[in-house]
Amino acid sequence: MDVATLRSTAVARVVFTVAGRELARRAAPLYVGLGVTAAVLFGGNGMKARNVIGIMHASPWWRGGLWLAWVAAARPLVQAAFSPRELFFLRSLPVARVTLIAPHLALAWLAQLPWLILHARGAGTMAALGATSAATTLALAACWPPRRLLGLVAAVATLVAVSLPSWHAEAAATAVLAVLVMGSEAFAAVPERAARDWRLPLPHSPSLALAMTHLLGLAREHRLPLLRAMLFTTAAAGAAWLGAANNDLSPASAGSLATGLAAFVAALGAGGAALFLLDVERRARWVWTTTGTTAATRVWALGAATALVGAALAAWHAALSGYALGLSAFAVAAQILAGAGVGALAGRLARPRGETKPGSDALRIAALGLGSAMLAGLLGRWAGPLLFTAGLGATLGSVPREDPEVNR
Amino acid sequence: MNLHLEHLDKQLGGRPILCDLSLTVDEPGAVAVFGDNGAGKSTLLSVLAGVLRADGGRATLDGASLFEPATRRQIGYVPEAADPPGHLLPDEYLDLVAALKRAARPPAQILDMLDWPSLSGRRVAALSLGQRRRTCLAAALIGSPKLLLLDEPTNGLDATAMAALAGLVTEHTRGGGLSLIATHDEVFAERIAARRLRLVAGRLFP
Repeated sequence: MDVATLRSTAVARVVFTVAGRELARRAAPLYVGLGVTAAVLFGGNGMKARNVIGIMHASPWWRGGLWLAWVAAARPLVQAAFSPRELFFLRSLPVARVTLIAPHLALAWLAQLPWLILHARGAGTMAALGATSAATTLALAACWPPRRLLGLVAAVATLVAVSLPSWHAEAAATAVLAVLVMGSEAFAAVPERAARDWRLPLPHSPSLALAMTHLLGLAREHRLPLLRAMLFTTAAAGAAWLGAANNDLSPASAGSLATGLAAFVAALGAGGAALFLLDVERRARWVWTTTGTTAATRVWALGAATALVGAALAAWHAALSGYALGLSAFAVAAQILAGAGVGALAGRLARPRGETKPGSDALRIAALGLGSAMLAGLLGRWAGPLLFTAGLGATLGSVPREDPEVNR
Repeated sequence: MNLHLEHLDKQLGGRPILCDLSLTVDEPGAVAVFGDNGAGKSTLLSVLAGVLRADGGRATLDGASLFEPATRRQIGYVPEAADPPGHLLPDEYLDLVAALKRAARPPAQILDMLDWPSLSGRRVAALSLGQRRRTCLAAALIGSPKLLLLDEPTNGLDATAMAALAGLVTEHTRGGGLSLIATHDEVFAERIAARRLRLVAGRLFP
């Protein structure tokens, strides 16, 4: 191998290792959630990929909605592929720019795997190539809006290609060219991010102030994963409606199904939030130590923040499923209680990054979601209050006596 | 004011960093700790701040163990990296530290010295090293701590900020406080009239 190839391989290996690890961490909950949704839609209800593509071709509303949902879901993955600060030093090396951009762009493109599979199975190779490139371009533009005319043209051309009912060779080629342009735009924009924010006065109670700090972190830096979780929640409510309608369920059984699905999506959303917050917790450990903050305060604040995330997602699910299925007030409240409880449990179950094998957190959170859903199957709506009590107990009753790292 | 360190030991990765280190400071003032790179200055401050746990020995401030969480509220610490949670605004960070220490925010006079308005509106992660250090310094002064632990405090500061830092350390000393400063900056140490110590082979020497 010549020197240039060796250099390119070394750069790609570093990018794949660092950015790929972060991308895998963010992608795991998305892929697990999509797998479950796909199992319900394509398994239980006999739908096929070409049916979904057919619906997208036939209705501009469905096409726009599904593209919007996917780009929102894929945006954090694309962001992870490009933005690790640890990789900025590579830019100072005497390496061709294309050598630096290519592995980032390849990772961002590969992150669209479920979208690629859907289009490949539903509409063929050309559509898969076009749709995956277009999704990567739009997600990149959502992360780093284009600042040069060429980038703007690429984004607009992609939007035009996406708005067409099906993928022709010209549209697919346009999408591929556009993603190359947008990759270069994003690569240049990544280190220049700056944000101005509104200030939120914090209360004087240590636990409340810390919990609100966590919520601020989620609102400012974890917004899109939360939006993605909301989209899942919407899909789960749709699945509850389909399941109840296709199987002619009684109101009680429909309530149990809705409680189980609410607990499941709350576990995934709150679990993702917990992993993010534990990272924040770990990086700022010196602040907690030097201010004499107790372990109890930290555990309570983390649990309160993740419980609120779980409760909010479950409330959204309860509103949608309650309306679609005509559920009772108790069945709606049970979903919210289940969401809060599972959220608090997710906050206690998550472990700081580096403490566990990669992927084990996703498995643990998925197991919590599945276990909660099964509990709802066994106990019906009463699983809601039970899960809430379990979450409360885990947060208030399992505080370490010493002052170790939270959840270690 | 009495800071008493007795037979402190700390190893990192099997390598001894602090070895039987002892120090007594009986009166308010600034103490500058010099030493080569890797001598253990940051480790010493991290141990006193409670970020690292000492392998052995005692550290007391006015008779109370520095390793107790309650005593840590008497400490203000600015680490070398100066990296508070990046998603917060400097003002929110002050609110958080004030809540955690159960104390009031620093008075406007101190914030003015640190040119606080220039920091507002931007997240900590978007600030320069010098701006983050000013943020950490303001937070370290919350609760009028008896002991200030400053790790390379002049790194990244411009001339105005350095003058403000010197003024704040001097004010802290006048108020009866003690500052322990790990630094390479001889001029700064001269400016704040610090007692000088050198950390060599894990021990402090005059």
